[in-house]
Amino acid sequence: MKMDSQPLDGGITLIRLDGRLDIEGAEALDQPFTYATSTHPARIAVDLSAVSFLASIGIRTLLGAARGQAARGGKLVMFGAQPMIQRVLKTAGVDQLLTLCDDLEAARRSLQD
Amino acid sequence: MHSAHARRSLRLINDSGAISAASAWLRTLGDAFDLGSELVFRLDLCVSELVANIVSYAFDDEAPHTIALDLILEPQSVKLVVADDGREFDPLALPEPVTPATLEEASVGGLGVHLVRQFAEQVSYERASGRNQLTLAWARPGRSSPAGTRAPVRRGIDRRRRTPATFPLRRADGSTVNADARSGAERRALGFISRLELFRDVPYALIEGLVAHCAQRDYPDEYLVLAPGMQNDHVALVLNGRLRVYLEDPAEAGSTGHTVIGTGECAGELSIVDGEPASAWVVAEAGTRLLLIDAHSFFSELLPLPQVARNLMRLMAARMRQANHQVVEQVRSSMVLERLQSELRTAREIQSGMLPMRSPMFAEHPEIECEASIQQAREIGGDFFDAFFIDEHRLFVAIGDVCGKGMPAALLMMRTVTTLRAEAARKQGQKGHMERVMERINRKLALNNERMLFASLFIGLLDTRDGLLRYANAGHPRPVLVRRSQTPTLLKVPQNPIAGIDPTVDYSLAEARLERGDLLLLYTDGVTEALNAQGALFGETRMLATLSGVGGGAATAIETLRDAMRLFCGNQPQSDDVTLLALRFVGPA
Repeated sequence: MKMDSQPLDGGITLIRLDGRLDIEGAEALDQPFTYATSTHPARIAVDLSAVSFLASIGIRTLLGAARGQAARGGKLVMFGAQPMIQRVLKTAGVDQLLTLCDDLEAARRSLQD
Repeated sequence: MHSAHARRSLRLINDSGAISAASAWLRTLGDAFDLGSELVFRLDLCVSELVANIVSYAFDDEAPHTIALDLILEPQSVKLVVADDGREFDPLALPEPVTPATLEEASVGGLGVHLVRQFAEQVSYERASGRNQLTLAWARPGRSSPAGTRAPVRRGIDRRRRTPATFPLRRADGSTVNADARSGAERRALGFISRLELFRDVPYALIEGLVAHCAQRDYPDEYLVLAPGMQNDHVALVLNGRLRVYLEDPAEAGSTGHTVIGTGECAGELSIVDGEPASAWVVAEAGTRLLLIDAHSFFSELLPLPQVARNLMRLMAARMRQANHQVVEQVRSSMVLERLQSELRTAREIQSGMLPMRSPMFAEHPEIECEASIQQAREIGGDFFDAFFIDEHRLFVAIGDVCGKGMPAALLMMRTVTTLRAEAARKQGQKGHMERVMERINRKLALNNERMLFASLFIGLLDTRDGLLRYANAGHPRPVLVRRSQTPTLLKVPQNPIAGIDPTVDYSLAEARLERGDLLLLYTDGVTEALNAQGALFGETRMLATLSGVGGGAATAIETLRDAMRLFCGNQPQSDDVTLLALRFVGPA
C-alpha cells in the first residue's frame, strides 16, 4: 500500500492511495493516513482509483479518517473507487456515511459546498 | 488454464499471517484457473474476512490450530470450504448488521460476516465433530464466453440449515418421501458421514440431500444382513453398532475369525460396483443401525461427485493391496510350514536313529533273545526304548514314554535316552546302581522342567547267567511276564511316580528271576490304549490273552501282538507311538 498527498488549489489536499486495503494495507496506512487526515481540520479528497481490494479492516481505516476529519470540523471525501470497491462500501452500508464521488471534479465540488 | 475439475488445499496456522497467506493463495489460484477478477475479488474478500474472524475469535487457548482451506473447482461452480476446530460459530445465525445512521455511531463489528454473506452466492454452515465448516459457492464464470451468456447466478444466501426440506422429496428411483421421520439427534448423527472414507473431502452440503432421504434401519442382535449368494443392492453406512464379516458360515462350528465393520465405516460398496452377489456373511451386532443408500442413488448421485469416485477407487485399491498382502502371507506361511514339516521329518529320523533297531539285537549273546519294534504315530512322539550290555553278562533294558507329542517331547526323549545311557554305564555293578540311574534321570527331568514334561520309564538289568532281573519303574505300564506253560501276568513293580515331577523321589528296586524260556515283554501305553473304530481300548486283558500260549521266541511275541492290534484297530489311524521290547531268556549254553 502506497500513499502520497499533494496540495491542490482551493485549500484542498489530495491523498492518493495505491494498493490493497487489506490487513497489511490497513496497518501500513495506519500512521501516515491517520496523521494526514485527523490532526488538523482540512478539506481532503482521497483518490481510491488505485485501490484494488478492500476488506472490512480497510473500511475501518477509511471510516476512521472520515470520522476524525468530521470531528475537527473539516471534510473528507473519496472518489474514483473501482466498481468492486464501491460494492464493498455499499454492502457494508458505509456509502451513506462516507462521501463517495465519481471523480476529482465531483470531489472538489463536494468539498467546496 | 481452465481445468474442469480441480481441488486445491491450504492448511494454515491461526496466526495473523494466515489472512494474507490465504488471500495470496486464492489470488494465485484465481489467476491460474482464470476465474476472472470479480470472482477472485469475492473469494479474496470472503477468505480474508473469515480467516480474520477465526484468528481473532475462534480459539480460547494459545495453542496453534489449523485452518483448512479448500478450493473446489467444478465445471459449473467454484466452492471455497473454510474449516476450523475452534468454538462453534455459525455465521449464518448472526443478525444482519444495522446500518449506522451517523459516522459517529459507525462501528465495523460484524461487518466481515455480513460482507461474506453478501459476496458469496451460496453459504452453508456445518458443525461436525468439533469443527466449523463453512462452504461458500459461486457459479463459475465460463471461459471466454461473451458477457451476458453466463448461467444465471442466484444471488443472496442459501440458508440451508434454516430452510426446511419441502416435501414430498423425490428419490432417485422415482419414489417419494412425504416426511422426514428423523429426529433432530438423528439428523445431527448424520454429520459424521463426511468423515466416512467414502465421503472424504466431500462437503456435507453436497450429500446432505441424498442421505436425508435414504432409509435408516435398526437390526436385532445377530441378524444376518448378508449371506453368500444374496443380491446386494445397497451401500450400508454403519451409523451405530457394528457388523461382523465372516468368510465362512458363522453358524458352523469351528468357523474361523471375522473382521469388523465399525461405526462410520461402510459395507457393500464393492458388490454394488461389480453387481455380483455377496460373497461373505455379514452379521449385525446388538444396536446396529445402518443407513442404506440404494444402488441407483449411489450411481446417479454419489458417484458423479469426483471426490466420491476418487475415494471409491482409493478404497478398492486398498482392498486390492490387502488381498495381495494376504496372498503373499499365505504363500510365505505355507513355505514356513513346509520347512517345519521337513525339519520334523529329520527330527524323527534322528530320533529313530538313536534307538537300537537291529534284529536280532544281540546275535553274539545266544543266551538272550531280544527284539524291539516301534511304530511311530503320524505326529512325532516321545516313545523310546534301549537295550545294551553294560558288561559281558548283564543286559540293561529300558522303555519309556515322554508325555506329549511334537518337538518338545521328541527333544526330551532324546535327552532322556542320552542320560540313561550315560548313567547306566557309570559305576556299574556297584551297590545302588539302578536306583541311582532312576534317581538321576528323575532329577534331570524334574529340574529345569518349565514345560512340565514328564516321562514314564521302566529300567531293568538282567544277568544273563542266572536270569536275575532287577528293575525299577517310574509310572510306566507293568511289563508282561510270560512264563513257560503259564498264563501271562503283569510283572509286579514298585509303586513309584512318573519321572520329572518331584526331584527328591527315592526309587525302589524289585527283583524277579527269569527261567529258561521265560519271556518278558515291555511295551508303552500305545499298545493298551490303541482304539478301534468303536472307540474301545485294546486293553491289558486283550494283550494278555493274545500273549497266552505264544510258543515261539521274542520276535514271534511281537509279531503276534502287532497282528492282534492290527486286527482290532482296523483302519483306525494310530494315535500314539506303539513300542514293544521283548526279551526271552534262553539261558547260558
